[in-house]
Amino acid sequence: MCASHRAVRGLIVELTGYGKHTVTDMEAGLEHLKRGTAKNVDMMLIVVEPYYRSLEAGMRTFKLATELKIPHLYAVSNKVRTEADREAIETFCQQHSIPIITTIPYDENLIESERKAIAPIDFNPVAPSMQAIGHISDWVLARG
Amino acid sequence: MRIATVGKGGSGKTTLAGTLARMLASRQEKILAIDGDPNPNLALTLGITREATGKINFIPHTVMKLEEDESGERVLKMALSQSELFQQYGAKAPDGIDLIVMGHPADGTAGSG
Repeated sequence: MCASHRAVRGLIVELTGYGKHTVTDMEAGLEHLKRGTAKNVDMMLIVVEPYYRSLEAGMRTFKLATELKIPHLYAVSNKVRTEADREAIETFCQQHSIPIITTIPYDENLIESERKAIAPIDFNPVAPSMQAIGHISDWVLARG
Repeated sequence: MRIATVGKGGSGKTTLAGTLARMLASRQEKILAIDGDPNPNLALTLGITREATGKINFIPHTVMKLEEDESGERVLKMALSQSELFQQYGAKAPDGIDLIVMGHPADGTAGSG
């Protein structure tokens, strides 16, 4: 097993209980799932964009994560510009029984905040993208 | 709850992770953020300045060691205590968030991301 995957997985286990929650930004791709990093996760948010390759990748991640029995498994639609974008993701996810926890619209605030090297939440806390992510925060807080 | 964000590169998973961490932390929840991505940008989306981001020490993989427990099973153990880990590698983000960044092999400190 790659040292990197092993270390992340081990750390997530060791540091559980350090805070109330841990939020881990996982490596892109599926390798960490095959290697079992994700076994030590309670909630996995799979970010998908409204184009086929992203949805396909999201579906494969969902299948693997389902096999790993991650308790809370959700897709997050991102960069949604139009109603057609939204429908494309919703239709795909419905076909594959993937629940969507929130839909984040395409948001210029994110581009602008990155350009200015300011955290998106500090740049504009009421931006549409921030409100959409707020639904996930509420979901987590409601479950303690 | 142990939350993980996954997705293709450029999908926005880092923005999601950083923002979600900040939102939970702003509600007085103690949050640990872990950057497990070899292109560490989580610090910036959490609100750590570019300058401070450049000073974060990556955690080397040697921090986790494979050891055999009493039953002979191989288990991962931390090579240093939690407090040592945070002292050496932890970074502070707004709203009291602690951040640690996993390094990739042969890397020293995080770049500007």
